[in-house]
Amino acid sequence: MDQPTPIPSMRSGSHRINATLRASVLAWLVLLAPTAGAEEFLIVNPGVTGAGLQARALRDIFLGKRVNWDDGQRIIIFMTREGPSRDVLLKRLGRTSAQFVSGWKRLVFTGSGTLPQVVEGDAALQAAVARTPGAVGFVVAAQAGDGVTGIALP
Amino acid sequence: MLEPRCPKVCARHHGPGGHAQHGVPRPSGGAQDRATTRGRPRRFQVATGALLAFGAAVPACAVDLGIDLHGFASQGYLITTGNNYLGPTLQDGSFEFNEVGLNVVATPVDRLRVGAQVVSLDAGDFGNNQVEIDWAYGDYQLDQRLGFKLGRFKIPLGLANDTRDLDLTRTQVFLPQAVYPVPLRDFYIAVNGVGIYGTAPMGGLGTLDYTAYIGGQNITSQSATARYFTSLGAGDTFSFIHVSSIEGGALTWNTPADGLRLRASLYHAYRLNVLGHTLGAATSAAGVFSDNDIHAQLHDFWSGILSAEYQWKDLTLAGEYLRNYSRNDVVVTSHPFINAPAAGGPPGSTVRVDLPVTTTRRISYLRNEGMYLSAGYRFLERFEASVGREIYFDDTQARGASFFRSWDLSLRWDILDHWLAKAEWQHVDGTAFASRQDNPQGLKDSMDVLSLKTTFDF
Repeated sequence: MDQPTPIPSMRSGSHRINATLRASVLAWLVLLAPTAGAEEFLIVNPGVTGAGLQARALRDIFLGKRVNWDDGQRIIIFMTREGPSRDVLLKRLGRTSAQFVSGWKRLVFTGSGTLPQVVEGDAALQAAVARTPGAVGFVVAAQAGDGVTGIALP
Repeated sequence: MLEPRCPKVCARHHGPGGHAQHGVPRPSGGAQDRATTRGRPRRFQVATGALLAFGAAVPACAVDLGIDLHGFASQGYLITTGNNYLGPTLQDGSFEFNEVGLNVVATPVDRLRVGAQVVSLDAGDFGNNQVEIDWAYGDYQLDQRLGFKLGRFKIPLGLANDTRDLDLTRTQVFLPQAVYPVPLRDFYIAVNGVGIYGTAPMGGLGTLDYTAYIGGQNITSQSATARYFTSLGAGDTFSFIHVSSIEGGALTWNTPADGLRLRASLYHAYRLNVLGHTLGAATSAAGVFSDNDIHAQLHDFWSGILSAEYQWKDLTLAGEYLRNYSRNDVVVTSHPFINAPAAGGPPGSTVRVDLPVTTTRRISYLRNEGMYLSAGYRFLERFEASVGREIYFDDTQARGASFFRSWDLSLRWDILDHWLAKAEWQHVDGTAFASRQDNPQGLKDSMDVLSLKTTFDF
């Protein structure tokens, strides 16, 4: 399937999708239609009500400048330890690995940020985002996986 | 290969499946798309820093109370030629050069972060490994455009004031001393008060980060920072140092040119009062000495820094320009005395005879100027080098009187993701770099500093 697919399926123990979220997901579906075929996705937990979530938020989120979603929920970042998803993300952020790490440590030791959580591989990343309220990740894939909302990036 | 991770205090776990480790991923080789399945997530797990520092794999829960624990520890070695620098460094060098820090941060409710960090540092007479609260504050971020801080938090001044003690965030061992002098660390490090911050979009012109703060400062009379006031003629020992208030802020323009940011920052201390003392100082009259009580009031102490940083791939260029200014009102109450031969005492014994007390007042000005340029380049995945040039003048109206100029060359080796080592050589010309207290024999015009340092963090 080429079209990025927000899939509102929830796993056991997760939050229910409320009416607002359903509307939001539908809105994204409509908005994302023109970007069918994209291979880079910002993926978020379906519980994130993303009225203000746009592709340009990626930089602010992954560089630690934005720490909450619009509804106030804490943003929890997941990243892969290595691989194309990580490499492409750093390229999008305009950071080398060393610069990225140094920037996050700076935030952590001045009390301004919480380190991204590391998982092994894209499948684990999508699973972690799917089950963690407020979670966000970045993947390079043919499509966003089950249980997450995918936002295709231009 | 190790990767940054964080011990977690977990409260609950939602959903089955693997778990994640906190940390910033780095390339390490290995299989892809392999879900982490090292055992089941644990409840109420607190891993020790020591365990983590040595890279033990500790699973963390996917959902938790939002409590993070991090720390760092550095140990350095300094050896110099020409002058002592931050302790007795001339002959065998000095290991009085370390920092240790530990912080905990929690997000108890949406939008709110609370946390604190304690540090203990030593740099010759500075710090002496006394444990102090580095920062302890609540941070409420309404949205990206507006947030608030309340408590004790780091002062944003220049590119690196808030990371002075964080060796792991830079290539150099020492921040450029022309702009970030060690003796003034306590003066600038944190404010006890309130602050606002945020980011304003500027359309096609990038974004503008702003931050402002107001509050108080607690420099103790025992702080080695008091040495700074000695250089202003405010005494050799101090019984009272107080700042009525401090305020300031910074504007950072993240320009449309990717990697280029420009910053202007300002710091103001209002009514800085210092009560200092000198004992037995010689006077202009032969045989007459004086104990002096010196009350120095710096009505308005200003620091301003203009900064530029450009990152392009593995290259980082930075430059900053500092000006300090204050008008100082100094009142000296002198208690002169002579040592007269003691009548009826042992031969050579004397008795102190006090003379009339006098009071004098003078106005002085502080006009420091400092600047540096640096270039850093990561030439291998785990190796980075930098070169820098610094210039500092004690008084902009007498630049030849007290100054220093230096070149520095630094090498950083990231041995593991949480362990690094550095070596730095610095050649300094001028006497404003080292202190007279460290060099009672007198200051030489030229010196070299070799510093080695290693740092762990978790």
